[in-house]
Amino acid sequence: MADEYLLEMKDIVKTFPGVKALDGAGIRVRAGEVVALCGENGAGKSTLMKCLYGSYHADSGEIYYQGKKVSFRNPDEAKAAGVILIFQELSLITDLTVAENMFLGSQPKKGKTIDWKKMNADADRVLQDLNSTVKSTDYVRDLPISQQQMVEIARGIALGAKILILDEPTSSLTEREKNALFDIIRKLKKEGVGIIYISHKMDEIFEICDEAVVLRDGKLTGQFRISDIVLDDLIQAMIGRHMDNYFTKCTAKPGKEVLRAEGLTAHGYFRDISFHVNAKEVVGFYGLVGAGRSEIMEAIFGVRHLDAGKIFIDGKEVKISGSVEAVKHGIGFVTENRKEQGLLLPKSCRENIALAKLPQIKKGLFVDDSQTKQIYDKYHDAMQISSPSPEQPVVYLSGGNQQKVVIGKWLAMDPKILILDEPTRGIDIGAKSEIHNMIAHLAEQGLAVIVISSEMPEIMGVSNRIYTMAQGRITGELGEAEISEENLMRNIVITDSKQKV
Amino acid sequence: MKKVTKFLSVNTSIPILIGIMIIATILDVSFLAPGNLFNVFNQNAIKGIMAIGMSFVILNGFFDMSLCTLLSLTAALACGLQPKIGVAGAVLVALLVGLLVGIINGLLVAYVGINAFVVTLALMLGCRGFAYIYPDEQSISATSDAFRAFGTGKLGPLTYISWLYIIGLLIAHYVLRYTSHGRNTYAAGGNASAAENAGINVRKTIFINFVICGVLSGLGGVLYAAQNGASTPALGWPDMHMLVIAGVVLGGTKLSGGYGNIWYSLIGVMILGVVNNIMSITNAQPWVSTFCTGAIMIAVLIADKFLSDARARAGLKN
Amino acid sequence: MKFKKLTTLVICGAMALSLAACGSGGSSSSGSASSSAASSASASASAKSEAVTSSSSSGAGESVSSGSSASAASRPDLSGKDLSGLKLGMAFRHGSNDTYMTSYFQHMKNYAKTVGVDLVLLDAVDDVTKQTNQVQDLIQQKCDVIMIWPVNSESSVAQAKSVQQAGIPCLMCNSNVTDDGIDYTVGFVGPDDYTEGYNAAKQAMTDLGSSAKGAKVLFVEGVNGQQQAQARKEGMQKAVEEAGGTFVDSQTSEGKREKAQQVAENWLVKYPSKGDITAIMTFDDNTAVGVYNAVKAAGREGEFPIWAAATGDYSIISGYIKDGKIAGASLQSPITESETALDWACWIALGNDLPSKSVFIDTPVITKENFDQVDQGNFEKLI
Repeated sequence: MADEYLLEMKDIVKTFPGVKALDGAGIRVRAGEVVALCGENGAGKSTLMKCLYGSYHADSGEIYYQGKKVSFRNPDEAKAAGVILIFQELSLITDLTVAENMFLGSQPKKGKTIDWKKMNADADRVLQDLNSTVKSTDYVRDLPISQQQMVEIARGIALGAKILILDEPTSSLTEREKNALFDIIRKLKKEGVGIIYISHKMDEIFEICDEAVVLRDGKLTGQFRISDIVLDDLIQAMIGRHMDNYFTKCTAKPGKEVLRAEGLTAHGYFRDISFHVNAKEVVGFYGLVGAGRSEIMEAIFGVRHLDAGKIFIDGKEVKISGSVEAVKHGIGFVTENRKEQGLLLPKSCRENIALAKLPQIKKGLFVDDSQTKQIYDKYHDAMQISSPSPEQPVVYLSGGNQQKVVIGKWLAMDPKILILDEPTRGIDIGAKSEIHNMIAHLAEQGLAVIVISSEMPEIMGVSNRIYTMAQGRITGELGEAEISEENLMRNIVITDSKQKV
Repeated sequence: MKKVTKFLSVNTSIPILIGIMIIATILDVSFLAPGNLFNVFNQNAIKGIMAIGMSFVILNGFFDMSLCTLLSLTAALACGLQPKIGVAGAVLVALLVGLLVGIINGLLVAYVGINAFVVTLALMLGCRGFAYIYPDEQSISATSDAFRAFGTGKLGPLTYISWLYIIGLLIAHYVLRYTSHGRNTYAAGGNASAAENAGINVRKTIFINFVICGVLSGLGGVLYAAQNGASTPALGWPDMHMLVIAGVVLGGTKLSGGYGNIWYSLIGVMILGVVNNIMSITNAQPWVSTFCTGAIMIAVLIADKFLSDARARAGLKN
Repeated sequence: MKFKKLTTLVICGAMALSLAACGSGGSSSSGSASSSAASSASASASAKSEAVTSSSSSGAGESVSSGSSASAASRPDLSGKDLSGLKLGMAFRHGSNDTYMTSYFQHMKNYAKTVGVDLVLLDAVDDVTKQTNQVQDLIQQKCDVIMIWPVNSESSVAQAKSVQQAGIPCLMCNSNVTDDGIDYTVGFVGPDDYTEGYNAAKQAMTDLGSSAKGAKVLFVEGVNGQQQAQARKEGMQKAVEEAGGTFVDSQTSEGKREKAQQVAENWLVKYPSKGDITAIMTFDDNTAVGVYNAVKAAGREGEFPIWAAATGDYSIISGYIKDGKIAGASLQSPITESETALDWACWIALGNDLPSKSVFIDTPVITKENFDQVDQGNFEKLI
């Protein structure tokens, strides 16, 4: 038991069916200090926090809080004890005032009657302490996102937080607001609040944090005083994995240029995007969530409006005003959320695969079912879709097979360009490698393939070339020889934060 | 002055009501006669009381269809039981039935998680059956003179029922504004998961609101029986619930929940009442009245959508 | 975003349409309230009346206080009177529910114009609450006389009371209030439902001859709670029992032809053999047609007579009674009834009294045999 620490989590193990999420992870926070919690996506950061917070229960390990061993049974207990998590997705009620949101569920009362005056006054006090211009009587819906985040933090403080967990808190803040937030953090530090700061942004970690804890594959791989280390130490602790060779890369020589983008801009999402993709090539797009990659591809596919820029296919400029046109130009788009945008869940595999081709396989007024069956058979074999029968509704398929059905659907269209957005999200290891193989195979056969991914091993494993993006801009183009973890890590934040879209 | 304009642009139903009243006066100046205006209020007081109950449910993000036949059932009970257990007993039983329906609605929607439309529709059909079975498909006369006297009596220019409505409005306002339950209703209606995260018992909130609506709907039936001096099996059928919901929504409360207040329901019900009244005064065909009501609803909803879009755009700018 | 706006509009449109549809949709209480009121004499204002005036107010089921002798189709003498300053109000039950009510409603409007009286005619579309509100509105408009054709006789008691309390004479039309409301009204103009039923059934039993004794009669009722449907039933039942027969079964048609047909179909199955049924009687002509359709479909036409208590629909009379498909009914004309009601309302507005508390209109029994002799009022005009 270390009394010097306000919070200490040791040797936390947490297993889910098939996956060991945490294997001896931990973190320690002194009162009045900020500890960064670092790690790649999937390293276990949010799982660790959920074990602290009571949403999950660790299989083994110990948690000490204020010198006592604790185990919060649910978030309410954690909250009551002063351990407060500020979610990444805002949990404010927009039609209520700031004061009400701050005191939601625990309004000050006179007997049974709510004391609005006191509530507003208390809220204003906290807001003033935070140097915020927000008033307690403002309606949350009238505030911009950055100020809404401020309200969330104010709420945590109003609830008497002793440990404040901030999950990517600056993701939607401007530079000025970030500075204001950091002022608040410094103020909270003086008051003895312990803060866990989860972030990918290396520059911020070095600016505001006192310690850094690094997780990798669920294990604790580093615990440093920030003053003792440099950036490289942190990166090393985060990514020192051995690369499994279960990635296949397309080995063909790249062919002619198939797709070129020049100066694409969509206000608020991305700016001045230029890139090109050749046939027989896999081009990766890497960056943090929110960098704008999906949005660019949506624009290429014609479902998002472009404010400026040109698109060239096979050297000729095209204007794509909708998905139908995009398909005609030979572009296929496997979206991020297959369940919502890629599949008709209750419908059968056969129907889903034939979906994109439906207008062409009619017999008179009706769909030609025999043709749909043919298409299904072709791709079922080619992609080894594991399904008891073509009539099986896709909703019952595993994630990997569902994804194969979606890809099969697009392949049935004979595309020239295939865009895949997070193609192996939520898919188990085995199916992942099958899909990676497929991607390499497709490229070798002549397709131009674009892969968007937030998983570094994946993007490095399948891509011949990688464009890195941050905050709506392309920050770099890495050729085959330049692809490395370090280069990727550096390029996903813009250190000169003046360059906002 | 700026404050007034801002107030009116946020509470759009007020200028709409005023506008309709102006049109009404133009069509027939006798509309403005105080007797007529009080008349309109008196005529819509019972709808207003039911709209109070419905407001609680709508603010919570749901709605209640069972109102329309529950009315008839409680009216029949209030009349039919009078000779056997006296007025007080009969009214009490009727209100208990309303309570029961509210409880069933609340349990199924809040705790079992069935879609509110389906649940309240089922209850509506169930009540319809009982509303015909109990009175043997007949209408029942109220035997108690006190009962009828309450239903038709006046205190000043307003009926007793109207005064009851006013009291109801004040109580509802207090609950919605100054009690936890009221604020929880707004929270749960606005963002149920955020409310849960904040420790609010959303299920309990939903349950209580359905019970409130059930009781007030039942009360509506009792009051109609008092006013008419009798119950009829077809009372409220087929669309009383739609009219009540329309009244709530027309006033500015959002069907999606979390936004609105009890005074909106007063305005909305009066808008409908004024439209009906002017139809009577001008001797218009009945379908004209319903057409106008529908047209006004569309206009109000479209205007509201534009206004909220404008507000959202303004808010996002930063 | 555009799509969302469009969806909103579509949903609003659908809501508005459904509100409109709902609002005007009548409920199940749609008795074709053919109150037979055939002025057998000419329809002129100074009507002389001949014809069978049945003054049988045998008390049972009739909500008319004693001493009501049917003033046979008498209309007040309004010649030379200035009616232009009068304001009449009428709270009408349902202006488009069935042929009879529609005819009455439309003719009332036109006749008022012809006569030069200001008539505010409000349609409650069978909604009790709406009618209560409309009565309030008419009081507010300070009418000289307020006429009510009640949606529900019991609920109209409160309505009549409020009219009387406002110092306005209240005249009931076609259907009367229940007994405890009689004192609030100045009178009633309309058919004598009980007598219609009685006369029609009496003729029916006479025509049955020897089969009348022990006759097994099936009866199709009107809407429950509808007072005049009830009165007609009682009239018919009395006549049947007087002649030695019984109502073997009696079911409601909810005032609808289709329902009546269903009820008859069930009966035909329940009583399959010839002789099981001696006669089927219904409370009105509309439902009698429904019964006829069922009988015809079952191929049992002619096995037994179908009688209606009253009829007011010319298409039915000419289509069914003329050739005997429906054996007969008490005849009543919506034109004459509406005119008579308006005339008496004017009379009252001028400060006079009704000759008697109930002014009954004449309702001769019409059959195939006497088809050409009976004066059918003026309602060929209606077709």
